[in-house]
Order: sequence, then C-alpha cells, then structure tokens
Amino acid sequence: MATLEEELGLAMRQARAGCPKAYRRLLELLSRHLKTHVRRMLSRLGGGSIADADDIVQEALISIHSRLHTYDASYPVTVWVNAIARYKVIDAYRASGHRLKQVQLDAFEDCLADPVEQQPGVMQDVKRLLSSLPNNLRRPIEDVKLLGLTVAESAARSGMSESAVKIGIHRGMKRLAATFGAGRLADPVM
Amino acid sequence: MTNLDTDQLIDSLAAQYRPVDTAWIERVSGLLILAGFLVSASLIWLTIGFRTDLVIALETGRILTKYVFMLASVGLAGRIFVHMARPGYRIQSQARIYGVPLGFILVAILIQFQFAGEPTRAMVLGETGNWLACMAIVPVLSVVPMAGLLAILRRSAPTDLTGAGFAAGMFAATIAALAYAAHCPCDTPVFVGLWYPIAFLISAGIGAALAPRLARW
Repeated sequence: MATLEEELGLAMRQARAGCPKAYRRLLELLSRHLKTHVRRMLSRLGGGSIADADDIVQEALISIHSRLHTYDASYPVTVWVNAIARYKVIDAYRASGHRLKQVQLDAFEDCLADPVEQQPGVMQDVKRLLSSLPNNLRRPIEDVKLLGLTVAESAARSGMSESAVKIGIHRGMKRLAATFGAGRLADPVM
Repeated sequence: MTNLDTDQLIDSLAAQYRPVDTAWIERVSGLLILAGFLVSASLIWLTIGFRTDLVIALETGRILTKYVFMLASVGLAGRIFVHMARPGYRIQSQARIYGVPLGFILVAILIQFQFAGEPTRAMVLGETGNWLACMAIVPVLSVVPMAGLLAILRRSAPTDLTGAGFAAGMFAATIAALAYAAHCPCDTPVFVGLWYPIAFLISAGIGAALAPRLARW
C-alpha cells in the first residue's frame, strides 16, 4: 500500500514528464488531501465553514495548476502543496476581515514542514516517550522502528553488535510498555 | 453541490493540461538579470562613464577582490531569489548562504589591514564622496530589474512575500552593482565590503516593502 506521498510523487513526476492522465490523477489526489488539510487549518484558526474550506481548496487547485513550475523536485509534494494551501488559507482569512497574529501563524508551522503531517504531533509524542529511555535502548528503536533502517545498518551506525541492537529494541519496547502501560506497545515486533 | 464544483474544476483544469516548464523561474530570471546588466552598464557608460583606469585595474588584478565579491553576490542572491519564488521557503534560512561573500570580503579586509595597517579615511569613504554615489546609484539602477523580478514572483508562488521581495531587491541590486563597479574607482575591501552591502540592503528593503502589494498571487 503506497503512502499518499508516494502516490503524489509518482503522479507529479509523470505529469511533469508530460503525461495528461497522471496530471488528472495528481489533481484528484491533491483535492482529496487539501480538503482535510484545509479544514483542519481552518478549525485551528477557530472558524470557517465547509463551504469556506471548499472555496479555498478550489483556489489552491487553480494556483497549483498555474504554478506547477514552482514545484521543487527535491522536496515532497505534500510540503509544496501544504505551503500553497497555507498561503491561501491566510489570504482568505485576511480577506474576511480578520487580523492574523503571529501566534496564529505559528500554529501552522508543523503543517508546513513535517511530511508525517497526516497525524500532527504523533512524532513529537513518540520522541518524548523515547527520550525516557537510556541511549542503548533508545537508539536502536529510533533507527529501526522510526527511520526504517535494518538491524545491521543500525548496528553499523551505533557501533553496537547486531544482537545488542535486537536486545535493545526488545528491552526498550518492554520498558516503554511497562512505563506507559499501553498493551499495543508491548508487542515485540521484530 | 460543492463537491460537484470541485470535480468540475478538476475536469476543466485537467483538460487545460500543458507540459510543465520546470526551469521557468531560473531561465526567465537569468535572462532578465542579463538584460538588466547590459542596460545598467550601457547607462553608466553613456552617462558617468567607466573609470579611465579600468583596463589597468583589471590587468594588475587590483580590482579582482571587488569583482569576485560582486560575482559571488550576484550568484548567491540569484540562488536565494529562485528559492524564495517557490512556496515554503523562508528568507531567514535562505539569507544565511549570503554569509559566503560577506565572509570572503571580511577576510580580504583583514588581509588588507595586515599589509596596509589602519585604514585611512580614503580607504573607507573613497576619494570624493564615492560612498554616497555608490549608495545612490546602485539602488536607482536596481529599480528596473527589480520590477521584472517582482513580475516573476507574481507568476510564481512565494509564500513569504516580504522575504521574496527582499531577495528580489537584493538580486537586482547586485546586478546593478556589478555594472556600477566598472565606474566606481574604489577597490579597497573595506569600501567594497561596507558600502556595497548597504546599497544592497537599501534595494532589498524597497523590494520587501513592495512585494506584499505587487507580487500577490
């Protein structure tokens, strides 16, 4: 199952290479993504109806259409499109007579920069949980579970042996489960 | 109802598909800045003229520090500009790379102090009010290329409009300065490293003030 970012990236590459079908697919994916994204931004700003959100989504789609050349291929598509959406949300918000304060602008920061933004804040929570572990348990978990490295790669990176990395993950997960008490965490997935 | 609208919009946008010109920003701003240089250099040549010792200065390499600084400034300001024209970039993180030419000129200033001791008044201010001429002429010459760069921003998608305008003003000023450098008789690193960046900042400030109005999209 491909992630949204992978699907978007593929459609974007093909559309930029000159494939009209891929372009339609890109627009459809973006429209779906934008719908939830824009609604969430509006609700964080404390307002905006669904009709407002749809207007902004359409504005954003038109901008995307006329500004495809501004996509920077070295960044994920979601980062690019979220930046455009953010600009359009602020624009609409200002146009409706609101005055944005810096604090409210800052509330968007993680929408812009974090590719894992489908569930904002989750990564921060995970990192906070992990920070309670000692290094020899935390690093293997970060490498293998969060960054997606293999056990061998993590071992090479940290200078630990492979079995030490495996043991670290196992014990780390156990300790997290004991500390925070959620049954799901106890699953020693290898 | 609204869903239908969005679907219709997608239909019509998809029907208008045309191949994407991925390097549009780079190409158009490159051409614009080249034209800006030629126009600025011609204007200077026709009005205040190039410095009479330009050939000698080039041959002896006395002017080298100045031109290295100018060319690095043009290149890096251009790089910052093409980034700022795209969504998601902020000037705070982009402006950092301009530390490279500033660092270079700082080293040149220190080397100069080593050899020439304390800077004299002429080394800092130029011979006869050159510093004022530099700060006035560079921003004036930068106005036309800046207008072109703001038009490019309008057709791009800068999300930090103030920052993008700052970058546009800066880029335009560096190209104006490159042209003006052929007139300006002051080659000392202190002069170049002090007054030219101030002139750049004046233009950048103008760009930053104008862009939120003129480059909206």
